[in-house]
Amino acid sequence: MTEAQYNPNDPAYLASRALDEELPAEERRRLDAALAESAELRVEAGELAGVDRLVKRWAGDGPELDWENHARLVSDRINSDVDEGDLAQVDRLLTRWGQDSAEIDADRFTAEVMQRVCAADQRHPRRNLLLRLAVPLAAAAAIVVAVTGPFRQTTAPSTVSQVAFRPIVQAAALPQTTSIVQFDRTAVADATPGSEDSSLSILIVGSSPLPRAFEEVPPA
Amino acid sequence: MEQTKAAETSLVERARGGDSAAFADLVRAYQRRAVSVAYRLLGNVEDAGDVSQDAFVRAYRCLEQLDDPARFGSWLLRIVSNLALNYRRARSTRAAASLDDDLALPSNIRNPSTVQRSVGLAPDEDGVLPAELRGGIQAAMEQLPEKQRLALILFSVEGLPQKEVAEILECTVELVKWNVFQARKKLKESLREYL
Repeated sequence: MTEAQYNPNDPAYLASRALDEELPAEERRRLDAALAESAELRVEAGELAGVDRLVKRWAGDGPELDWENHARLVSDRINSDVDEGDLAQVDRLLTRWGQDSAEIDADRFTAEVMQRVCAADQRHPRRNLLLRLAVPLAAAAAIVVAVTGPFRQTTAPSTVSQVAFRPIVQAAALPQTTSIVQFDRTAVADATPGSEDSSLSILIVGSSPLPRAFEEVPPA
Repeated sequence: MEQTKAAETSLVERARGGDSAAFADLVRAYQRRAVSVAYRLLGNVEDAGDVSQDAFVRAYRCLEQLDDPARFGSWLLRIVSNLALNYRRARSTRAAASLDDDLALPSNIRNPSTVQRSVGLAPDEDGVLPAELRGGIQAAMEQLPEKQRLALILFSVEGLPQKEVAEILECTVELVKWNVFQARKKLKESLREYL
């Protein structure tokens, strides 16, 4: 049904307003004259009055609730809303903290890693092959830390880092304790040098201030 | 009337200052009307209760945005109306997405005049409306455009003055009258069998 254009002179509109007893005398006279002339308008006015009666009877059938309980529920929600407000403040602080962490200079981080790895390479030439694999992987992992760090919710070790480094450490026949690599802001990965063979440990510290990168642990 | 407005203004001011007891008084004063408007828009008491609670919580959060504390009632009903219409739209979307939609809806909701015609209901002038007729009116109301439905509910059902309805709908009083007229015209067609 298309919407009718506003027409204040529509006789049916006057009839509708007459139901609400708000017609000024002049408009009342015009309506009466129109009703006297048009049987169709009289029918329409009668139907509009019938609709109004039905709607008003329908109105008498209002909803019933336990109003005291309803008011109490509103109060409870408002009070819990205050608590949620506090939690929201904590959440905002955490988000800001996460954003700070995201401001890692990935290039600088990678460069530091490279520098330390190269230094380790000079001291341990037998591990050249291992390090050639580890460097790009470490760089990639650094980027992963930089990009995804603030959005991570879990404190579990990064699957990416485990997948990336464990085979390398295993291939080098290093003790398992040296293979622990965690990209986690809250947990500090530990690498325990257990013997001369475990001189290379990969340690990523994720707590703020952000990573000092790979640490080389000197032979025991 | 002026006294009531003054008391309402005082309650709003106190609630703004963090007096939750003052806001609880506002809730008690307006909850019936809020639930009633939501019920007329949603046709379901439980949903109406939930929506009106949401409206009060939202009103409490946004109390600072209320320009004139004396108009708390109109402002609250605008929130109730908006939330109820949003809720209704979301509900319609969910219903439309359901593959069982046609089977789940009673036929009198899809086409109120069908059942009414076959059952041959007539309104009892003195008693309560028969349930089917009540449902038929509710369904016919739901077919009205939102502005017309709101205007008719607030003015004819809730009995609010046209000026207040205009405030709630953020339109002119003339437009309220016109929307009420248009709503009546449409209901005249969809409820013809009852007239």
